[in-house]
Amino acid sequence: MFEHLDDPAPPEATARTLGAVLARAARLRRRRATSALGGVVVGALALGVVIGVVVSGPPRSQTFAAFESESGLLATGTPVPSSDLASVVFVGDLHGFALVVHGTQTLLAVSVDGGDTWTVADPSLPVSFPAQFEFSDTGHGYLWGGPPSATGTVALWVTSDGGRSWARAGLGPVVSDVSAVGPDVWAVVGTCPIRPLAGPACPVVLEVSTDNGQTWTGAGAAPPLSENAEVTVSDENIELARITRARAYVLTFAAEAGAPGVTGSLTYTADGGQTWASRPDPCPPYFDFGEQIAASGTADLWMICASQASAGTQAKALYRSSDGGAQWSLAAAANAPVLTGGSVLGAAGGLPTGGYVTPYSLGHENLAVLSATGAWLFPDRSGVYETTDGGKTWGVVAGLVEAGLVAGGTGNVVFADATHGWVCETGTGLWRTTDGRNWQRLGQ
Amino acid sequence: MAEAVRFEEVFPDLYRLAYRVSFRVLGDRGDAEDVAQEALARTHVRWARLCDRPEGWIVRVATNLAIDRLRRRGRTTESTGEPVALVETHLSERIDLARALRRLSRRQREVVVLRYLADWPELEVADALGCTPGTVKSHASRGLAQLRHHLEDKGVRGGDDVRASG
Repeated sequence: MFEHLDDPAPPEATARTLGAVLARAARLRRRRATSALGGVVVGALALGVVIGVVVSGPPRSQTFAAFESESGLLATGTPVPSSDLASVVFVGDLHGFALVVHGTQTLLAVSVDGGDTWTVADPSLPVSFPAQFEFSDTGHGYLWGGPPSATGTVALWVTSDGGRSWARAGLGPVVSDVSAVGPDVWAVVGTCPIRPLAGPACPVVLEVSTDNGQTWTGAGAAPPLSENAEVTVSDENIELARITRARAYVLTFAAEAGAPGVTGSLTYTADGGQTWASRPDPCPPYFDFGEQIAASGTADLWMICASQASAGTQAKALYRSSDGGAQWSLAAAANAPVLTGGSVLGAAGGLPTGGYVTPYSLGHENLAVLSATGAWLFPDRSGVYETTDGGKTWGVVAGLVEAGLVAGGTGNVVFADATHGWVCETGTGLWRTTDGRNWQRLGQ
Repeated sequence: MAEAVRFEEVFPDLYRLAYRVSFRVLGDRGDAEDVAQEALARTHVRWARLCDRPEGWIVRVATNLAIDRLRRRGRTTESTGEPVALVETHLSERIDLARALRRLSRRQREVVVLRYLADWPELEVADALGCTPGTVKSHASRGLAQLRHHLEDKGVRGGDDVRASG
């Protein structure tokens, strides 16, 4: 009856939209809590009058009045509630940075007390959430990803003042992943703009900076890889894992010309990108949805393979290598998939069935590997899991549940060292451990 | 016990539903997106109770928010004397539709919104509102008659298009 009033081109429900909705929901919950607290305060005041007790001090949530009431650009220094953080990174045990969705803006918040409190550093970042970001110290940081421009480009932005201002790096057209080791920064760059329709696979190149991203030069050789040109979020199918200044792995997940489906490809350099050597990708073809790589040292590698996601569950497999990726062995699996060729992974077990590990990971930050035996995993729409036996078995982190984490959304887990870690659930809250065992919820 | 549906999994469908209803009333993408986000945020807060059947609640909340938004927009226009900047051709029809919906009784409005603004079949409307299909038919018929009356008074296209069906 009212079809003629419809929008002929309605907007898609993107991850950014979901982030904005979750942020609003967090504000609604806080407002409710404030109202309830206000009622308690009024009651306590009334009681205080009766019995002669003075109740003083405003409710803590009043601190965030500006954040909640102002719909435009916030002033630098405005307090930000930790329940509105979308993604966090830390450089050391005290200094952290966070992306925050506020109205139509994506802003950068900073903490100098280990995540207890957050304030606005830049109220309007040049890249919208879901973006990727990384800081190598308290001043130098990198921001990329997010929705591509109208012409299909994805830029890299560089800060040298702790995120208060950003300059666009002269790289492109598609900056896919970035990793910094001190002032030494690498960027994997796709050479074709992102297109809405499928196109031919596109080569990637490596750009290198030795001055905190101020100037860039091409590496000696390009990794022998390509990426899909049709993807709409640039960071989902390519990953750069730096081990040292000279050693790194690049993992791509793309359709190969003439081959059905998509496959992963892994390549490795030990000389700063002068030469590259292919490494076998251990993920069987069954896992056709994504891959993720992490490392605890120059030889110890972890690779998670993921299948199609469905109803909150996803078949997964974890492979380990102790020789820098030359040989791999299965450490654990979930959903016991039958592989092509008749072999079965089911005997491995160990990984949680629930939750998605990829390609939903933002910035590949839901797997934190701390050593050859210890790692943390935060699959989207699931809980947080820990292994202490090299990935063979994973258990829910009970301390986080006791600290109030009701995981069900998107988030990330990061560690600054072996004992200082943070779990951020987008639009819900932030949790911290300082000993690797006990967790506490931070702020409000 | 079956695992509860997770909000993030059904979010795209629910968002499209809220946006469509909002846009039909508002005719402005920015406003409709804002209303849809607000409706979904309120849904998320109540998800433990709504997760089984959230659609009816979302349609009603999105419609009410959209009508309120349109009313505020009207007040702003009147107070400033400036026309609201909308790039669309059915503005007067949408305003009259919102006004006509406001004049319906609460139950009639719920039925008309679900049946004709969200395009639900009678059986689903009955299920969502916890009443019989006959009650839905009755409220829909009376609501439509009133809607047609209000819209025809304004001489807008919606009045011609308002016909009981199904």
